[in-house]
Amino acid sequence: MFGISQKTARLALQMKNYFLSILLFPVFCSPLFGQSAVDDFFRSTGKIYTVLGVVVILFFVLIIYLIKLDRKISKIEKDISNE
Amino acid sequence: MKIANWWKYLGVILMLYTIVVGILVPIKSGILDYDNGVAVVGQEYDITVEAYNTHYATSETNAYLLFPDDRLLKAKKVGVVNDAQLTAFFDIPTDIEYGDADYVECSIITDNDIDGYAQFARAVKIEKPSLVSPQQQGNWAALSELHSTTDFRFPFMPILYETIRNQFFHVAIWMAMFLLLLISCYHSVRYLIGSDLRHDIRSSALTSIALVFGIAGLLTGSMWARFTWGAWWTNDVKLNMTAIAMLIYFSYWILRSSITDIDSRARLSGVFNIFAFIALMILVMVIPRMTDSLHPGNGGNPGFAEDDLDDTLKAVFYPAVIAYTLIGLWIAQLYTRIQNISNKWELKTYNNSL
Repeated sequence: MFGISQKTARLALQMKNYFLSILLFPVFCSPLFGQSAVDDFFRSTGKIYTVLGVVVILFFVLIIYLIKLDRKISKIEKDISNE
Repeated sequence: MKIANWWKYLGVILMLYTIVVGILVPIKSGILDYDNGVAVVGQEYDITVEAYNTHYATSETNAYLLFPDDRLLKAKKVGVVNDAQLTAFFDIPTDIEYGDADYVECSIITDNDIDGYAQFARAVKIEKPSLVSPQQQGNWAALSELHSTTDFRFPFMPILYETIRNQFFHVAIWMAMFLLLLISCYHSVRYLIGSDLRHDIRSSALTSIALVFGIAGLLTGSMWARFTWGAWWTNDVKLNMTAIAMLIYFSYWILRSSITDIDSRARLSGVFNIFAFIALMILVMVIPRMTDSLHPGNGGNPGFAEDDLDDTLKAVFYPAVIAYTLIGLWIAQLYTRIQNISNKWELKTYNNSL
């Protein structure tokens, strides 16, 4: 029904890897993260970019869930149209 | 006129309010750092402070030392470097009240009529001298001399700074998760009483989106912790207990997907859901209160009711919780509708095949 479903599925697959990398990010990065430029960035201007990071994470988690839901709908649509 | 789905619009409006007001309202001014933490009685003492959200250069700023007996020692001279930096010069007097200790710890305060007062608590240590000579009276001032702002601004907290705003995103999403799981639990009970499959679908949909909120809560908390507590994951009891609670809810989904019979799946997962909710309450709400935790409201830390959640924060925090809960209900409703269509379709094809 929607032309984007195939594309969305592929995106979701990439997203899954991205999601995993967010999950494992802490594990990989904690010893390397000491005094880097990224660290300084997140602490600059009263740590406001940490708030930005939190909002972005929230956004991505919800979007990933919506993509999952989209795939579920696509599957049901396919089932119904195949009959 | 009755507006259909008004609660969805309300959810969107409140979410927009949360993001816009939560980001745009400035935080109060405060002192980030200072260079000299030791003063000596009878001598001149100078301290350079670095502040945040202050207007030192554009207003007449005074500096004070606040002693534990609530007396203010006014600086004899203030040298302003720029809007966020100044050097204050004090003469430390001999008439200091030490109480039982052999030293006092004073807070450094800067004050002007634009920003109100900004302070760094217990910044300066003054040792009680063994012999005092000659006597020197201090230039004392009363607390009423300080300005306070009545502007709508979020409080300035040491270490947290701007990240106090994360209360509207990280803390609120957890609260929304609890509310969604509570509603899910209600539907599980309703299913077990009436064996109406619609309640099972609603319950599973709510658990699904609540788990997503939980994952978001863990990830955002990790981000926040990295730049305030200094690590992605600390051995804080609340973190570990939450991780266990999340695993219990993961196993709920494994349980559901492993049973093919619709009725036994609904019954088992309904019972499991009630058990999981009670376990979550004990793990996340009860156990962290009995030990030490970095989280407010746990162990020795003060709770929400005190200064962690003041009126300005409440004005955004409560709408944020309602917003996330409504958005969660909306998504759960979509999930439920999809599941209902799917079930109806399966039933139809099953009947046709007979």
